[in-house]
Amino acid sequence: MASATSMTPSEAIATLGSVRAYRERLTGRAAGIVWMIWGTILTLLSFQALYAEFGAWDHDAPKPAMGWLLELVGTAFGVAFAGLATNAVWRAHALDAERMHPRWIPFAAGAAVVLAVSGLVIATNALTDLGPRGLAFAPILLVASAGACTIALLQRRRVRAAPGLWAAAALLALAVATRFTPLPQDRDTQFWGAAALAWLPLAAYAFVGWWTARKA
Amino acid sequence: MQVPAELEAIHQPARLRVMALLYQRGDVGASAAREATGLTPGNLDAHAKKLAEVGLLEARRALTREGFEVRYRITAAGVTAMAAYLDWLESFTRELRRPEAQSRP
Repeated sequence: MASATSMTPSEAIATLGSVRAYRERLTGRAAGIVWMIWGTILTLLSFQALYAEFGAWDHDAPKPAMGWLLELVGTAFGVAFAGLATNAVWRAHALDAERMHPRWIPFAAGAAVVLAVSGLVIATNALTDLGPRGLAFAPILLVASAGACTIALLQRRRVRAAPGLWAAAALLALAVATRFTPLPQDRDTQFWGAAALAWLPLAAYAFVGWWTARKA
Repeated sequence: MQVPAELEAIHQPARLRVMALLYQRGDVGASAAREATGLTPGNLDAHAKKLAEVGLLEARRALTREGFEVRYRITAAGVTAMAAYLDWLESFTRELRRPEAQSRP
């Protein structure tokens, strides 16, 4: 504990950490990095889905048995990696993060978003076709939107949630637009459309991350 | 590691908070400084005077919408001193990473 007149270098470092200006700057940078981590993982998972659908087998041939396992395991690894990286980033800024979140929160939040959106997509696909058919991979943006909303709300006590919520709204609007805009259902259109959608989470999250870090 | 003599004025918890805040923002009002550093008005005034005596900051009264307010501004000497202090802290952490400073089995 620092005395009134002297302190060790370790105590000096702790003192610096308590100054709000430093805290806000470090917090903003950490929050920005977290956005970029999840944006990268989401895009990787999107391309995994593209690979599973378009690249892993001949489109006209029967799909491998339990091919869904590829996406399930990959998603689990992706969410686990992003959760670990999120915790590592916040703990690297331990000088600033006086009140750390429980370690399980990033993992639980990531899994909940993926499960919720997957369940929603499966449930709606079980119904008869709704409206005109656009891009089949539009649910990628649903996951991205739900993820952006979740990250913004979970980090709201550390940084402003508004940029993330705006990104979530934009991604949701794009998801609806790309799903219901009549588009050719041929393989090439669907493939390139899905590839374009796959990059959007990274672009959106990277922008929010950059904005959050810049505004610290 | 001993703090260099010319940086001793900064090497005190309350004054370090004040200098860290001014190093980031350059110029702050007394009320904002109190909120950011957690110091009482009397404490802040006393430590600011100490820093002003050694030329690291300047205090002045400025007219704001709420009336006259004391404002603090870091001097060029204060910027140099704070940069040197941060370098000294970094050298401390580098010292910890040196092999002979680590006790490994």
